[in-house]
Amino acid sequence: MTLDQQIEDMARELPTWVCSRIDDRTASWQGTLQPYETPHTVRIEHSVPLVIEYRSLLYVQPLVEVVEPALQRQEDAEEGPLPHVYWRHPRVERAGPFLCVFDADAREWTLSDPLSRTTVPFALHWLQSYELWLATKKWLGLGRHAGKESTGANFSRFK
Amino acid sequence: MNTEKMIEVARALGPIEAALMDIARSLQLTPSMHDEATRRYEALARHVDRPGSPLEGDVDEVYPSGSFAIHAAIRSKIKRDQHDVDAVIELVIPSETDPDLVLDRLYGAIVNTDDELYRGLTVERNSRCVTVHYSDGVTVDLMPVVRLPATPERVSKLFHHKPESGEAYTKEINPDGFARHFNQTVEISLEFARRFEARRLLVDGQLFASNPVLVEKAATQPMPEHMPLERKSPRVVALQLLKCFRDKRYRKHGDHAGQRKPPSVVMAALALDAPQVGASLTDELLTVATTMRDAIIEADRHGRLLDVRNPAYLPDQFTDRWPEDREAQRLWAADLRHLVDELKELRREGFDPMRVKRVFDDLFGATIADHVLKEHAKAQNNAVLGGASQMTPSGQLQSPATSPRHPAISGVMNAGGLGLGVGLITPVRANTSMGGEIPDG
Repeated sequence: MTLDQQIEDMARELPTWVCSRIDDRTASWQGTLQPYETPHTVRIEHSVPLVIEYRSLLYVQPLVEVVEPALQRQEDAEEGPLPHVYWRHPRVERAGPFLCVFDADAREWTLSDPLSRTTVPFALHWLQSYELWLATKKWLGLGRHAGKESTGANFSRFK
Repeated sequence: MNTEKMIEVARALGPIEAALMDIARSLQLTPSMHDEATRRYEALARHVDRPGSPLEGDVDEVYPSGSFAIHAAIRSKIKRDQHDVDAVIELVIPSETDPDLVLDRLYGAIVNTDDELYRGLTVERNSRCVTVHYSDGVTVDLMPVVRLPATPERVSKLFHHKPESGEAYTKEINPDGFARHFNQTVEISLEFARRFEARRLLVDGQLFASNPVLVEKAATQPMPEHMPLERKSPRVVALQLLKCFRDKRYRKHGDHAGQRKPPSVVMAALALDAPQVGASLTDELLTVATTMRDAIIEADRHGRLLDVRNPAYLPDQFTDRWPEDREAQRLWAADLRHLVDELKELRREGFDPMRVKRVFDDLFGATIADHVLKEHAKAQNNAVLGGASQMTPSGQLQSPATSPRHPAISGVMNAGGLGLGVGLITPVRANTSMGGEIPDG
């Protein structure tokens, strides 16, 4: 999808999200996601690569950040102080955490997908798992670490 | 009922109701645990009756009593198969036999043996029964009684003796009569069964499978010895939750240390007095707890101790050993109020994982609190994988595992198919949270 198409789709599906056009190929959106009782302000930055560029899905993925409340760390949690995030991303200089909301190997997100029906609900599911992790110190949502088997249920109507 | 309707049933439960259902599921004895328990007390009775035993030829019958007989037994440890079984062993001996002699003989009949099955087991002689502790954590309480002639069916005399104080007496009881009365009085509910079934299918991942294993028309079949959860009365399941709450309270809370806990049979008898409330487990639990508390408050207001009798045989007073005094009954009344207040508050506030964890930890213990959140996550993961986890335009989650949380938008749900609502955003595919490093290119 082109950036204009993404902007148009987001405005139609998620009218409360505020869009900022950064340059010809990049835009960001900010809005609220609330898996449970706590609302989270989330920022998504998406940059459409040039056609001639070959980049991995992980490289071109939309960058998802939680603006507030700040994500909490739990130093004694089994999977690390804040699991399923990237602490840095080669596309930007600022530090993360950026949420890891999809499995690139499984092509759960591609450049053809509307953000409104992938990245945004994916981030909502991530935040839900995060809130459960805060309570239990275990990532109970669907998850996988690179090179390891996935967790969670083994049935999917999508696969 | 088809799968789509089951999804709607699961969606309509509400997360706190679903959490209580998940707890109830974890408390149930499995059919094999039930069969093993039955086999054990029957084998114990044969062992007591064996040639050479101090009670050789004196055993007439053995049958379950207490929670086991009313299908309200619970696992004492969720992670292990521990549970307790109460059984009555009817002896053919003079009813005037000294209680200490009866209990000593029963104890001796179990421990003084060459039978490898019973050697090495821990056996306790208590004031009314002999407890056998099996190596897998299961305990069987065997209570010796003598059937009384010219009385209603199975009215018996129990033997009470405390060696440390010398206290000894007999008491007329009818545990089998109570069990039959209880089982006939409590009402089963097809709607309740359907709700439990929908929740089970969602958590187990079958709701979105091509061939879910549905339990149809369960309540019309004859009552089995081991009753599956889907066929239990809401009253029995509420009672199981209350027992779990009581056990945690009296085991973990300092102000309960050394206190005798309210007997299960007192709770069961009081539960029968609660009004019928429908198919909601939360409402059932709140109603039973409130009824129980009201009975205590009423007695206490008149300066009396709670007096609960066996409805099948009124001379059988269930409250003969608890409450010992008014402080004891007030302690339990305060517990019940705490339970009711916390559940009502939780239901009003919605499902916040941190708060759910804290409240369920307080009410039922840390293991159960974790279990609630794990089952919740399993249900949600299945909804994500099944394409039934959606998002409202305002960024809230709508799925069979979490709805209804936001009443304002619940009206736009149920547009057919998988319960996909109008105006809701359905992800194009399920997502898996990753971890690792991002390559530079």
